[in-house]
Amino acid sequence: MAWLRDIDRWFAARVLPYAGNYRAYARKLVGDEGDAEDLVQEAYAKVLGVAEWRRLEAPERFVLTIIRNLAFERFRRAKVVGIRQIGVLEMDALPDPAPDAYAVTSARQELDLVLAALDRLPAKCRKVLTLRKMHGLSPGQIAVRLNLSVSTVEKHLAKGLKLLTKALATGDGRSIGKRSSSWRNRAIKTETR
Amino acid sequence: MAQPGDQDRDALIAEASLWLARLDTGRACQQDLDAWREADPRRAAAFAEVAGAWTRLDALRGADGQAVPGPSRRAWLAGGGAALAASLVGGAWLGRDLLLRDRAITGVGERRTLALPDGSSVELNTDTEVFWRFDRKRRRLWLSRGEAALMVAHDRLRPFELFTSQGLARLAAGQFNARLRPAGLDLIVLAGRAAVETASGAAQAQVVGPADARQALEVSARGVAVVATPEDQAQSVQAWRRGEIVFEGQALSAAVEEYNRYLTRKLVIGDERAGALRLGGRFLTGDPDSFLDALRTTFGVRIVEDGPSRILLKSR
Repeated sequence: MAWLRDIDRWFAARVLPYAGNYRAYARKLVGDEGDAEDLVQEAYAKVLGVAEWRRLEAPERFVLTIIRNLAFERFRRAKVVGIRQIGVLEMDALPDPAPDAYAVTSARQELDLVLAALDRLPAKCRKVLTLRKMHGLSPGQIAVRLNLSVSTVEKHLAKGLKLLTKALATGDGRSIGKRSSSWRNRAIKTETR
Repeated sequence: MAQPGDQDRDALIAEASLWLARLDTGRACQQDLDAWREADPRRAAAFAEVAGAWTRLDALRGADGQAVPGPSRRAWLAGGGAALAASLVGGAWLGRDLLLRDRAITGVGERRTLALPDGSSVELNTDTEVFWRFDRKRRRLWLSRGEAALMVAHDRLRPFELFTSQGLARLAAGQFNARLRPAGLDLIVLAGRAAVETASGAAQAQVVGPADARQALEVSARGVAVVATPEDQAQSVQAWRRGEIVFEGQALSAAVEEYNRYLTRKLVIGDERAGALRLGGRFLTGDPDSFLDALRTTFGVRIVEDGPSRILLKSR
């Protein structure tokens, strides 16, 4: 997989496992689901542009900081700012991120999670991805086996992968872990101050 | 959920997924990806996220391995309801033909020799999977990933066919080494005769007497090339059968890629200067520490332990 750079591997191993935390934090800051997603994507893009990424000791906290700064930036530009949002932003401390479920689950649970996500895919996508990743068949072999052209196999791979990426991302947001509830409390306290 | 941000993200993830699929099918190359990726940092992020999902799907590979314990057909069938159910996630598509094949795999770092029913033998290198089915008319062996050394026994009535995703090879009695690469197949004829047929072309090679040069059939998307291979090079290709890996002036980045085939804990090149070092030598595939020691003492490479990987850096 030469197309995966070291930084991509690092990103998958050190940054993505906290995706649920970033989304939750961004939602706290901006309220709106879509805007929050936007902030997270922008933060990802920024962290992938850091030349010295290898020296980041806690990349997950770095991402949260970026999200906060981006949110500040937005508020400065926005004409009307909700009081709730300012309250949260005034917090000095960032949340204590805990790795998402998949980063701490056993291999067995991870397998269940992936299988469940796979199960929700359209039939053709599921077949193709199962042959590719469970049975280790090459795209060419899959094309022969299912009597499809390689470009059709490619389309199913792409579609399945798109749906899975989104499904796994939402699945991650499902459980943020105990430590994060403490920052949620803090946030609420700040809001009502 | 029709937020503008969502829509952007959807489009980016869809695009990144398509790129990954194109790379996987070999219909796009690294340069194409780089050009697309570097044009917008959000693309790099989307691609990294999709690649993360792709990597997580590797968990499925284990599922198959557990479900199908042994190479024998009886074990295949005796695996029972649960195993079958696990491999039938996609429904009833798993053909009868596949059930009739025998199968053998090796994990990363493993090596294994199998005797085939006709007196031929096949030796599997690290992370390799083969299926075979021999009947009255022909002998068929599928290499679905990895690398295998084949010793094909003589049988005039039943041709020996080697199937891979990159094409079909008909083998006469002899000795061969087949290695599946992401974008091709290397078939080395050490003795005997081989004819390769692929979508991109066909070619044959033969090595009859001991004095004949060994031949390599190199299958790629562009066609099939026949390359005469000097004896020492043919020997280093076969070094894996002795648990060895031989480097002859390759860049460290290429050497590490090669060595990583045998390691569950991968080596990662930390900076370009380290990657550009050229090295030679003979190392044991099962003993990465001796390899790392050599890098440390001869090249002044620093090794940083980093959880699931080890990072190699050039110290000044």
